[in-house]
Amino acid sequence: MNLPKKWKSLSQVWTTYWFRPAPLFNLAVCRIFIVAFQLFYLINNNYISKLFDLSALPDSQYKALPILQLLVTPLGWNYNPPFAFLAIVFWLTLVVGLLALIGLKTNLSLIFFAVGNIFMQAYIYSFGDYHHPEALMIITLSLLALSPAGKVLSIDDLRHRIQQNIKRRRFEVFNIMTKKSVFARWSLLLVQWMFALIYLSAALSKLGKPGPGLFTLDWMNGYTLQYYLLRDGLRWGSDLGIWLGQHHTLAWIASCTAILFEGTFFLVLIFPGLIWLYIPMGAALHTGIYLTQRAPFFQYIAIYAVFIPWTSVIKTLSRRQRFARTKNKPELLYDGLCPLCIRSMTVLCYFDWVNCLTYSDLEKRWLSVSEIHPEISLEACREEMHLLLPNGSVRKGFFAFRKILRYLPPLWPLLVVCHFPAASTIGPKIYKFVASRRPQFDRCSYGTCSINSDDK
Amino acid sequence: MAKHLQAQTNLKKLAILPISLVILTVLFFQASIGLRSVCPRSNRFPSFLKNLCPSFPSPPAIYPFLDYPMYSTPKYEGDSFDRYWVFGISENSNQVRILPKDIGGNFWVFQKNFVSAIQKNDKEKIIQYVEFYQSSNPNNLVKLRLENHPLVLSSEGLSPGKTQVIETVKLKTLQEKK
Repeated sequence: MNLPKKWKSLSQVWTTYWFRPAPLFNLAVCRIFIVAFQLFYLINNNYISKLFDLSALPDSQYKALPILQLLVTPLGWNYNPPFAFLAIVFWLTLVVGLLALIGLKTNLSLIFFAVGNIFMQAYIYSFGDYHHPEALMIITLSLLALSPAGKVLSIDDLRHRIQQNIKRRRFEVFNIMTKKSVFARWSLLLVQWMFALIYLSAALSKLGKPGPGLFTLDWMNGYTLQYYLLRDGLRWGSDLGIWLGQHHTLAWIASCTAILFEGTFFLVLIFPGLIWLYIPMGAALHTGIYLTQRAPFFQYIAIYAVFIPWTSVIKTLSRRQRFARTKNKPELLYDGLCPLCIRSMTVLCYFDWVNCLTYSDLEKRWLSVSEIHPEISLEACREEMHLLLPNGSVRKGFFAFRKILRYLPPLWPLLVVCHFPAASTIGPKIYKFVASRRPQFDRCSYGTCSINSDDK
Repeated sequence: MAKHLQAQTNLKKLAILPISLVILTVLFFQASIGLRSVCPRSNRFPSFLKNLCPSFPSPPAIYPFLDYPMYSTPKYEGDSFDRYWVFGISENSNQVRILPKDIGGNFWVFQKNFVSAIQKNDKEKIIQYVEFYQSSNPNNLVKLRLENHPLVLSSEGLSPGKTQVIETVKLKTLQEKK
């Protein structure tokens, strides 16, 4: 009688731990960060040329890893893919990686991106030599592919929201940072667990002892790290490694720090606040390892993104920004009856993560606005968007758009474009051209475009 | 609306089970393989403890799940590290050092495959590498010599140790045997 109760409470603890509602935004930021890094890694490390070199080696040197055998099963258990096949996999992986990055058919793209990476990496390691840096990235990509990583910050989501607003014929203010899901936490948490297990594995193998007794502290004698620093420094040509390898005390301090870091990293799972100590420490450790021993564990630094509570960080940072603290926000007037305006507002609102702007439907706000700003006409408001700034000034059309960009940090790259020389001359013309062709752009799905429409 | 919400909740509950299985599988593989270095395998442990260690083939058989024993062997003052150099000797007794790029691989392929093949006198492998080497180098090699140029560790750094000839392989004999 007691057993089912115990199982139930155990299941509740499990569900609460792994499936507590969490912001989808955190997951999406990790997706973008990690996929972008991996794309850069594939291109920067010249994978295509690595694959070419390996495919030229004799067949006898090729011994497919089991995971690769699994992937090529339809072509034969020991199929050794020719370079043309490998090149196709490489380029397709890049394409689906780009799709996963922007969030187009996100889960499908992520699945193919993960499989492509597994395939290439397993092939590279099927010639009698393997290394560690890519393994965690491959597991992370696979887990992201199974999670709702594209539910926000994706073209999929943006398209869905635009469609919804167009369908209901009105724009509703939303904030993607507040959207939560019970499935937003588990994959990030599992990658955190993987980090803890990996670091623990590294620490225990350094402290483990083959003879009697379980552990030994010999690894921290200073000589061990000196040895590896000098060996790798000479092997790979690192002056810093050779220099550090000649300083016994420094090597001793570094080895104690490394063991302390690796052996206690799991504490971040119990006390999440410790990430602010461990993550910078980890980034410094891996950078140091690269500089002294040329062991490139940069993937780990990128995957540290899973520890960062992005939603809280952005909210905290935005509170420190003056524009986000002001009570009187800039007010954006839009034509609520125009599909293109609804679409534009949805896009702008999508990037307004900390609610910097107030969005006002012209039809509902016109009376009060005309009292405060008698210089503005309703017709002018219908022709181009108007931005009412807290200091009482008004920006219109292209200049309103350019001002809005200042309030939306994710769109700041566009700000550079909008401030190019001659942008003030060309920008308004482009804006007017787009606005004048609203009916064509929108296919005027419900025939209420205010321009050229006398029925309003 | 209530029915729709109920259906959504049921779907979520249903999805939790397979995801939980994924979580458990991933944790099981990583923990079993990653912590194998401390697994109580030796006979000094009671058998019930030994049974706790699942036996998996050595990494990277279950790639991407790996253990992380890099740089884990303790070293002491006076320890030396081996630097293996391979020399090819041609018919006119000229000798040339063979580098990793000459056999179409990197440092690791060179050490783990080529050097190891010479150490183990693995004729088949040695011939493959030599043939690869000769496809891009005109030298007609008759012998391979593996030398170790060790460096010895002290608290101040490294000093050169005594050079040793580890193995000399006659290639003609190998090809005849082949």
